[in-house]
Amino acid sequence: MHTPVGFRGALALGLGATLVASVAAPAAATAAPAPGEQARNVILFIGDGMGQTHVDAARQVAVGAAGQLDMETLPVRGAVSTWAVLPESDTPELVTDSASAATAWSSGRKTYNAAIGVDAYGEILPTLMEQAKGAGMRTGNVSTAEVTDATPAAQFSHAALRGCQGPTYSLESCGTLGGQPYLPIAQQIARNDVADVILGGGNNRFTAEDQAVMEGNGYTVLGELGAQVATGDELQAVRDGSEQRVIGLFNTGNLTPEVNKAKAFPTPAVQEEPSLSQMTQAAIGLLAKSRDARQNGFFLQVEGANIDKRSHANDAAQTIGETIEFDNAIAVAKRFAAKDKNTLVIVTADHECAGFNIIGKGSYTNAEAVTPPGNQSGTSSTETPVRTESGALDPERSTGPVNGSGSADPTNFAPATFRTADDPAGVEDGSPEASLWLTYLSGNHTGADVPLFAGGKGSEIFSGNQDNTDLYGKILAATKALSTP
Amino acid sequence: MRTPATARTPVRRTSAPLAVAGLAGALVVALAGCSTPDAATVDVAGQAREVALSSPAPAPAAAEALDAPAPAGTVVVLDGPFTDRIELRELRLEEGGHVVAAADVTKDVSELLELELEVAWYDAAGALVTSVRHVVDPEDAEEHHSAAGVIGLPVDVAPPVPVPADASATVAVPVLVNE
Repeated sequence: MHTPVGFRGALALGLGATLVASVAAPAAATAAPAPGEQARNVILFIGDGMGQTHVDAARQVAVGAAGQLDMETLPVRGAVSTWAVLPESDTPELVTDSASAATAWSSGRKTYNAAIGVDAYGEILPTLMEQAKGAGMRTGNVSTAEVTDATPAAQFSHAALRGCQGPTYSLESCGTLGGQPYLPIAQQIARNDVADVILGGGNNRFTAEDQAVMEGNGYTVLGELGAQVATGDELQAVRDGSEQRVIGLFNTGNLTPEVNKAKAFPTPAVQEEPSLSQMTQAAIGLLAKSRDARQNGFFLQVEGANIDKRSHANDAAQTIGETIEFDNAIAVAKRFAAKDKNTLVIVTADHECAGFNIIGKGSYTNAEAVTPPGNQSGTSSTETPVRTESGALDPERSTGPVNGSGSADPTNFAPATFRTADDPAGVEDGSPEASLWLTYLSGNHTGADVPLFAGGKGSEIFSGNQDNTDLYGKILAATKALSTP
Repeated sequence: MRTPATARTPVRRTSAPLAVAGLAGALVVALAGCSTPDAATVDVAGQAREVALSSPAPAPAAAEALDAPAPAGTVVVLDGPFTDRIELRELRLEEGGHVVAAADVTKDVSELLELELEVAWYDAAGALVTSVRHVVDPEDAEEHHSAAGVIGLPVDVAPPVPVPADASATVAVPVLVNE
């Protein structure tokens, strides 16, 4: 049974989703785990913008065609549909943004793009993290984005518009809830005590007043909110604390992508930023060792945000680098889950970004052709020439890869080429000899389903095709502290 | 992806929003065949709602006076939470008091979602003459994307009332959000 997708018209939409699933693909496994098979802890990984090709490309670079990323070694596979709805309606919006998608799995409801923790009509929805906290679980929210950005925000705040991140409320960037101004996301996070551990970026969304409030509520604040970013060393220093609430924001904005951290910005401040895997390790340590977690478990969301952000930029090198680091963080969780034997690990995405794809070595895309062939729309047949004009590669716009050997020509359009783990020694990124040829369709999100991987207790119910709203009910069902005995 | 225009309109609120939201949450859980969260869960969700609906602090207004009078024709960018993410090049006062610049947003900028500038004009004695909140339409940034970010986004802010010929100005960046 699918989770209903809207308070108004819920049954109609839920029925529609069920019918689509039953016709188009094998029905998702939906039964709740058997008693004793529910997880005490849940770690939910979100690769922002991570479609199947992002996984494929990272695999080829990291471990080669026959290898597997850590996420791919999780035993349960599925796919997730991601569509949103238009404001104040149940009308599907086929391409979601991060806000709508994150609200879908955190609350079980479809909503409009830009909505954070509210439904399509602006009604505030209880979230998984809020419910976990209420059930006595420890809670954590980790991201390489500003923690006020859409994906983390939808677990522990509510906003009519995702742009209302703080520290200042403005009508244009925030809109209203029920006609009333509301607290910006950062200021909600500082005051609602929903997450015990908050690690990521966005220090300048917060203020000294927020710090005073959080310290008053028992948080250890690394750095100074709104004034001085936290450092990886500070994070290391608190890792042994078992009952602490911690907020550490390591950049004024988003964290630095790993490729840039290594090459473009080797400044001390950037080098002080922890990686996603380091933050994940720290968060698990802080959450799992607490008394509340030993009694009721913990719920942790971890977002690899820069996969999406660098896909928007059509930067394949950084996209791959961020996907590999996201997988490193998953490896950390897998090791914990293997030892703990009571933890559910789920890996999925909010949406695909930029139509990332692998083309044949030596081939080219329509967009590189002298006269890009137009799409047909029911007008062609087997007797009709598919291409009426030259589809040859345009030498004016595509003289080589956009990286490496072709990078000196700024007019080059595509592709970006990368050596894979299977390529002979000496083959370099950006060379025609590299096996992995990557292109982007656009600079924006697409409506493709996204992959899901899961393992650990209760993971079987995530198998198969499902909607992003289904994840909410399934996580509730699979989590001991959140389900009815 | 841009926010749909309709999402910017105030959304309707029921007469009992908290109760409805709670009922909706319970309905979702019940219909999903899953468990109903315990009472503590509802309380925390309610607390989060209560916090969310707290009144925000008013946006900082332009200072009534400068600490010291500024030379005529100068424009100063005030330090703020986002001044490490944006550079206003060729910032100047032009005829009629227009504050003109080319904005470079060079950090965290796969897509520009929100940008607001608070521009204030001061007389020769440093007293506030007028101010205005300038809201940039993110669509206007699309053609200025480059490998380095959003580069050269034109800024031209007119004073809402006439300002003296010897006026100076300040610019603050209270809102900046990138995808």
